[in-house]
Amino acid sequence: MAEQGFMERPVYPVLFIIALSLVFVGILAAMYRMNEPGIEKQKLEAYEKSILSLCADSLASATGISTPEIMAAYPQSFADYIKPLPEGAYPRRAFEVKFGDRILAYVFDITGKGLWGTMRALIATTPAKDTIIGINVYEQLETPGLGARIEESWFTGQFEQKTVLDNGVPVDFELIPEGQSAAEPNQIRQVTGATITSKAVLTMLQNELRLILDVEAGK
Amino acid sequence: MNRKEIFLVSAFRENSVWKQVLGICSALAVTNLMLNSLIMGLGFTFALALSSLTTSLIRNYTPRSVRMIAQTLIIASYVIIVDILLKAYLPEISKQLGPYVGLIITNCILMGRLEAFASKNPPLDSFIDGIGAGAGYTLVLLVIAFFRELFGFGSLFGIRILGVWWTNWSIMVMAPSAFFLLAMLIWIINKRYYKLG
Repeated sequence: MAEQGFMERPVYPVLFIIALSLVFVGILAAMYRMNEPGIEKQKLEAYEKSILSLCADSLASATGISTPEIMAAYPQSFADYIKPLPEGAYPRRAFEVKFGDRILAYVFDITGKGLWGTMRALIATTPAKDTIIGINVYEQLETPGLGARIEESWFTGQFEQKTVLDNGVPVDFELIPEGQSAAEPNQIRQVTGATITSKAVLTMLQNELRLILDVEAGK
Repeated sequence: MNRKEIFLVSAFRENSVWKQVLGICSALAVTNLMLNSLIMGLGFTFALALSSLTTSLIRNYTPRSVRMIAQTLIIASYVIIVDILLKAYLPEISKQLGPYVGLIITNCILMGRLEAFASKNPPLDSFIDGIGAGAGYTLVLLVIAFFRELFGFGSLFGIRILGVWWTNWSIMVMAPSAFFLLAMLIWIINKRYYKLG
């Protein structure tokens, strides 16, 4: 009966929930720790594949191996062609895409502020860094269905083969409605209902390009 | 009620989706591919069965005033475990399912089964009930996904079934198709097995 008495005291529900929380938090922490290496490995793999896919077309035309074959040869193809540049070479993580001694492209890991949080993207440029080969937004916290659509290929695809430098100065892009088609090379179709996010992508591109170019100019 | 009956009742006769009309959101959201539906159903069944078992094990010690907080805590923990496992072993599917795995927490079927069954019945029966309800839910997801993937992509589990002559119905890929497929499913089952309307 002593236990019965304790269970009826007002403090019992509080202690019960605290104890239950501790048990489950412990279980979750242990689960996460056990699987952390696996999750990290998967993340790294996705990241490296994303870099490879951005410059796979350039690699294909240089090597004569088809794009799908290069992708299928991961991780060997990544090790063969893509070399991380030493830290400090650029203010962002940078990778050099090389076939033999020929540099085919550079890939930069850029970051910027979105509407709800930090966005991270990979951007591949030509060796002269004046033209974008491809861009891939791999991490963002934008509104699902609206801003989050900046990840979609119709949006990122617009930047492919775009000249981003005009006499050493980053080009100003202009946003046009999603339904229109671009008449000028500097026009980008924005995501409907996500003007701030669309602008944020352009701002990120400009800021980060400037950062990279400053390094270039200082050399 | 013996255990076989518990399973049959919660999986079919009192099916959470077509009889109790619970868990509709996720039934609409993840059913455009068979594989996603299957993984979602398995994750859901796992979380529900173990939540039922746990809730039932501690039912005599759970104060009435905080029972729902405790149930939510238990459900959330198991769902996070499912999420961690998917991220570690099936990252592609984890990415496609996106927020819906986490949203299992808010699925009414879980709370409903814990409150209606697990908090009043012995552990093993509750476990069976959880598996039953999970199987019933998975069955509905798979039936809807079967039609959506077949007509929307011409494939099943990613394997091409219909020939090149088939024109994909893009409505089947989008959410609205799940609305009328689910409605038709509920209608047919009610008409045939419950003799309603």
